[in-house]
Amino acid sequence: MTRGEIETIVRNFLVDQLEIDEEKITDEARLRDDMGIDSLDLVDIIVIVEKNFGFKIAPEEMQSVGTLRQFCDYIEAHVNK
Amino acid sequence: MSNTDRAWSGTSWGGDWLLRLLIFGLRIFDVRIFYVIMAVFVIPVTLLVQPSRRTSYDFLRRRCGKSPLRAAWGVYVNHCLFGQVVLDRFAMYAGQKYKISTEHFELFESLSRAEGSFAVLSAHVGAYELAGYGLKANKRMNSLVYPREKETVMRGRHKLFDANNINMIAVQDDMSHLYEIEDAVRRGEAISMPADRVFGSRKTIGSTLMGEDVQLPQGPFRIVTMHSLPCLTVNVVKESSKAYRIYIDRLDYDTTATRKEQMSQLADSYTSQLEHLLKNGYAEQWYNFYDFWKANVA
Repeated sequence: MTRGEIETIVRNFLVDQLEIDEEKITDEARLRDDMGIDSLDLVDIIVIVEKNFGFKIAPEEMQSVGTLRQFCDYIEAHVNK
Repeated sequence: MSNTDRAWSGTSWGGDWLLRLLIFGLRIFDVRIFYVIMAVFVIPVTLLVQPSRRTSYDFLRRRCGKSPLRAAWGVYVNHCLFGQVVLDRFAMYAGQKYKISTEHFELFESLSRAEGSFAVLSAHVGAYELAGYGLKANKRMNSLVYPREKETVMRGRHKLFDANNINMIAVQDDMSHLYEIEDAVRRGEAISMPADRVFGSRKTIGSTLMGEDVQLPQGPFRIVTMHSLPCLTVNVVKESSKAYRIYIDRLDYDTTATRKEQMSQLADSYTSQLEHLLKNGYAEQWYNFYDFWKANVA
């Protein structure tokens, strides 16, 4: 899966499922502080990532993921393992 | 070790010994004797010192439309019933028997026997914990509980819940209980959560209850709609001194709608069932002792 495809899928579910404003979704946007993602959203993200990318996020690994760019990096590393 | 074991903060001394003394007393004396003592001595004092009387009065007078006199009497009844529900719980730990009848049990049973997970949403009306004693599912039921109870309470719960294949998931400050709920859904087990109080995430969903806007916690509705789970509401209300009735209803929502619409439909279905219960004789068993309609409003 290409990086572009990953970013598209992520962007779509942030907008459709988590109802985050598109204008807030930038590469350097911080998941928690800028996009308002909290622990409840993280549960949704774990399910959505598993459905779309085929692997289960370990919640503790998300502690070191701060921005959207880092989140896509994380997914890319797992998908293209 | 279950996460409820890890979360226990109860001790064997202090308040816990009082609970054990209560259970000891309930092994000897019928619970109705304790009802009388409570109604005559404890509740009047409670009403004098606790602010809950105001919210209870406001609920009965303004939301339920009772006259001032009926609402005032209803406040006393409301507090007595709450005290009885608490006593009943310990009476059951002590082995006293209660009659528990069920309405629409077939809804629960069919989901219990079917493959896949389902959800049960509850509210702070009546005595929801008793559903765990009255309903036995064919699959494991994972029930969200608040962990900061005394050891005696948790021991009593375990004794009665284990017999009915109920696993308690304790609410954790780090919200890890949400992952346990997700894991339970993946395993095809049933989950049970209160859906009327916000804890942890402040995200809410709007609905209408008793004619006014209300904000409910998003969590339960998000979990249900994420997995398109069949969903029931279960409310356990006191019918008489040693009898409870379990009301089971299906919550409807269109799984083909957008997620936002699904959550909204589910929340509205939930409040509609709750309102039906409150308006049909059980208003005095509403135990949200705070201004429910102003809570969680941003």
